[in-house]
Amino acid sequence: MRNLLAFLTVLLMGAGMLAQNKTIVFGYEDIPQSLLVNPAADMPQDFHAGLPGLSQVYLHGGSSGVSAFDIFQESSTDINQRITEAIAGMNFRDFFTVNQQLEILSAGWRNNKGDYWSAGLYQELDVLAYFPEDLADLAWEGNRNYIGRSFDLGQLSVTSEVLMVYHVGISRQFNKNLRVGARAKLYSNIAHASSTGNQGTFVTTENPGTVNIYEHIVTNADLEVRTSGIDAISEAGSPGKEVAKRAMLGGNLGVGVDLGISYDWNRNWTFDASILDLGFVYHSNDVKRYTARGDYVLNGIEFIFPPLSDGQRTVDYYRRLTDDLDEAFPRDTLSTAYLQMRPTKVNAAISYGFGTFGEGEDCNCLNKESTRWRERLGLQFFSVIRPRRPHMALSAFYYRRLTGFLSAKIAYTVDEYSASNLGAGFAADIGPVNFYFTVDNILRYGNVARAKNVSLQLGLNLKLSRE
Amino acid sequence: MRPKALFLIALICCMTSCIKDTDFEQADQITLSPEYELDLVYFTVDPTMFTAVGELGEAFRVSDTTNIRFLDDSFIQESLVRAEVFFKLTNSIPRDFQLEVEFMTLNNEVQYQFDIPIAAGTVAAPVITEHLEVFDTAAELGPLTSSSRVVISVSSPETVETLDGTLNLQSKSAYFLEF
Repeated sequence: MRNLLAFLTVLLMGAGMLAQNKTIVFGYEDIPQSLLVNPAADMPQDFHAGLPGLSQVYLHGGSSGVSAFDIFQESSTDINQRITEAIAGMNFRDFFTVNQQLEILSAGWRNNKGDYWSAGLYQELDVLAYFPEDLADLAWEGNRNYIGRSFDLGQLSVTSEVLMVYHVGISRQFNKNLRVGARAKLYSNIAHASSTGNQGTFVTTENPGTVNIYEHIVTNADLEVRTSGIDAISEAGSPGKEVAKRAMLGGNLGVGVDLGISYDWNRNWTFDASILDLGFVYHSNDVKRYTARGDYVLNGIEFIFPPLSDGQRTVDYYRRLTDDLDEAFPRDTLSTAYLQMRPTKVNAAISYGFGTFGEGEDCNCLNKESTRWRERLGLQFFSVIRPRRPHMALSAFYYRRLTGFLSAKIAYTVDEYSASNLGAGFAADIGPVNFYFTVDNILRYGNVARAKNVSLQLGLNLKLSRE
Repeated sequence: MRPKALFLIALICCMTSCIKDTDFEQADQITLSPEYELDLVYFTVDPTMFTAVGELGEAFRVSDTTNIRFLDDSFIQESLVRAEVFFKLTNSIPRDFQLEVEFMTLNNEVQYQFDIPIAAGTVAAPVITEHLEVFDTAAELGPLTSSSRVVISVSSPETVETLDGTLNLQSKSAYFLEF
């Protein structure tokens, strides 16, 4: 148990609080993978191809309420005391998240009409667990000091999935000011497990007039855990083959779309926006849905002192109690299909481009035909739809082309939990080779353990242009 | 600061990032120590329910038994560091009683036993007797977690059949775990 706790703590406390908030990559058109964050991104090159398996490595995990340092710091205080304090400092709005993406293949090309097409496939892992404050108190401390407190079973809210995404998209310049993009996605879900939308309460009460000292009351419980693919993988003779099969359209499928626009307000001002993963996965293969619903009041075991003759067995109170519990909480395992909405993301940015490329240059931008300014300053908004509510972030960013082959972007992000997240990234074009690297929460990199969120993304591409 | 310098600093920060002043080995010291309280048994008996026992009918008694199967669960055996059983008896029968509690195995081998004297009361003025039995040594916890059955008996050396009143028992248990 403690190893599991430690594993989860380490796993979940490392990185960016808002999973998939690719602050740096959004609008960073020197990086071909910015097309995955805004399909309307304006690619400067005419062709790109990702180095298979290395064109986008993205890791991100975080905790809104506690850092690894909070728990595992070298200190004279007992670690259990620190955990107690951490639990006390968090509430049910806090969450832990892990998101990982690995691009397997990717390529993009400009056709004769000037449209930029791109296609590829990537694997994604997404885990989100809200901190079940009441259940954590119940597990960590028990109910003894909480007689009369109602524990909300609905705070249990966890979702996790691993899937392969096949996609193809187009970015088209509609007129001088407007560029739009769209990407069609086919999701091949490998495994999914979630428990959201739960409800119910548990309370231990002590009131005069009741038949026993306490009443343990479960009210309006409605709990469900939905899984798909897990049994098939765990029971397969060769789990690796089963994973591969499910990744290659042999599991549960879904469809989705990314949409984006980029609008040049005037010569300097640009508005970019995208909506990503507007889609769903339909789970019908290897589905297990575990449900428990009901109400129950436990008073203990009532002795009725039945008159027994010699050798006659007494009442099996304990069996009767467990039978009553089973009847009050009918638990089912269903295999009916279900629909899972993907976590839809929204990005938006308004930016101001400016700056001359070099001293004495007549041109105030790198390419006068477009608005590819040397410097760009702006604000970005990000939101992802999550089971309880949208998670949002606001960033201020500064982009600058440092040399002809090197550019960098920094962003300062604030959200409801953190106001000191400085991210940075660079992209370098060394000949036809494009390399990029972005990190979040750079102020904490001196000691990552202190960070409540960390993310990084890097990749290698080949970029070519006709000229 | 020039952007190139800022970029360089950011790059150095990334490349030199590390985890400091932390000791993940402390995970071995993580111990959950919840304390749970749970109702146990309850009953109300009246004088007509007592029956004579013994070859000569020298005592009058009611007795009942229940299994409590989680007590000898291996997890409980390994994790239980303290237990308490609390009894509250409300007696409005004008007779002293003796409450006997026995924890035993499914083979009816008694592992732990204790008695609670119950003071006589009246219908107009019931007498409340409270008793807390604490198990906090290995010698006490061992027998408790070897048990999966509880027998509770109420007895009186004299007949109670003609008396008025009732004897009510309420009880709860507390489990202090560490794992």
